[in-house]
Amino acid sequence: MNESIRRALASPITIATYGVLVVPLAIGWFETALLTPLALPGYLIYVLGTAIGNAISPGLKLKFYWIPFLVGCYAIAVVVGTIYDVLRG
Amino acid sequence: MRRRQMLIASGTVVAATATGVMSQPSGDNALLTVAREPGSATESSTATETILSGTVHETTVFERDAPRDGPTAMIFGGVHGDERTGIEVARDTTEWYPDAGTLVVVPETNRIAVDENTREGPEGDLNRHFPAGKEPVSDLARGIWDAVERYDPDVVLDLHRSLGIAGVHQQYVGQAVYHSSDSYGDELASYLNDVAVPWYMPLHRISARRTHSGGPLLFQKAIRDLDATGYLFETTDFMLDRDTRNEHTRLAAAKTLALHGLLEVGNN
Ligand SMILES: [Zn+2]
Repeated sequence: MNESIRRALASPITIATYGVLVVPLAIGWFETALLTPLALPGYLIYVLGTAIGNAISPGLKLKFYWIPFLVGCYAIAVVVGTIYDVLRG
Repeated sequence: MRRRQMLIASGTVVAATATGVMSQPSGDNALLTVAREPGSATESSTATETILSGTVHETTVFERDAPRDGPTAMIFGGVHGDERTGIEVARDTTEWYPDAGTLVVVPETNRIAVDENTREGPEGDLNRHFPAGKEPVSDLARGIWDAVERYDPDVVLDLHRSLGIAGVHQQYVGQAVYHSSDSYGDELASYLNDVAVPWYMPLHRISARRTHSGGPLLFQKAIRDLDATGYLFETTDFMLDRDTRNEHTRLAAAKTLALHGLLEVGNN
């Protein structure tokens, strides 16, 4: 695989961004009391994602939005990782 | 690289957990203590009554009179039988001691639906059985309404749970206080946002929404026919676990009673 693509998909920045978006929210998912300010970015993406999804497809249960959420956050993380790489040269 | 990624991941978990414990909303133990403390309980009297007895809908009504005069408040749980938070919190409130007035609680309003853990009972959605200008449209609704008329409440609070959030998810009604025009709906919502909703869950903030009294809901009939001040509280199970839903609902019940003078805050 092309080195720059490999880096974008799995660089430390990509992984860290993904972790920040997903991990604090996942923890709060199990127990609301464990949700923290660190979950705010993931929370906003998730809730607004369900709001858009619910407007388009009212029949779909809200918990099914975890799948597009996980995929979407990874896409965001790859973009962040790529931008970081490009800026660093 | 693996190691570094592991460190980043585990660091995130630890930080998230630690800040979670430190940044919880304050709750309001003082208010709940006032609600639960017997105070001058020797003077207060309690009674239970079975309504619709001898029918499949038979259910219990709890009444507690405070030593001092005051308004009568009626709390309903289980109008929808699968909304457990309203049932559990209404059961809690049967153990509360008002400082003034009378607290009347029906924890399992739609008893068959509560037993079967379904939204509707065999007669359909109880909260659509109170149309304007007509008798309640089912046996259960008529039996419930007979009891409501006898207690003639000044305040009615109906406890519910939605699957989403009003204003965020277009077909859902959660995290909202629906209230009559003469109520403390705005005060109740802003109180709950202060003590129960963390600032970092901004889309879970509770909104106050004025209801009209023309609809077929139980609390709307109480507003319409008895001139009661009506509230319907909806929490959500969207991202809120059972303890959190119950806490939001419990604080909503306690604050409603306090706002209407049944609980005296600051004297204990
Ligand atoms: Zn309901």
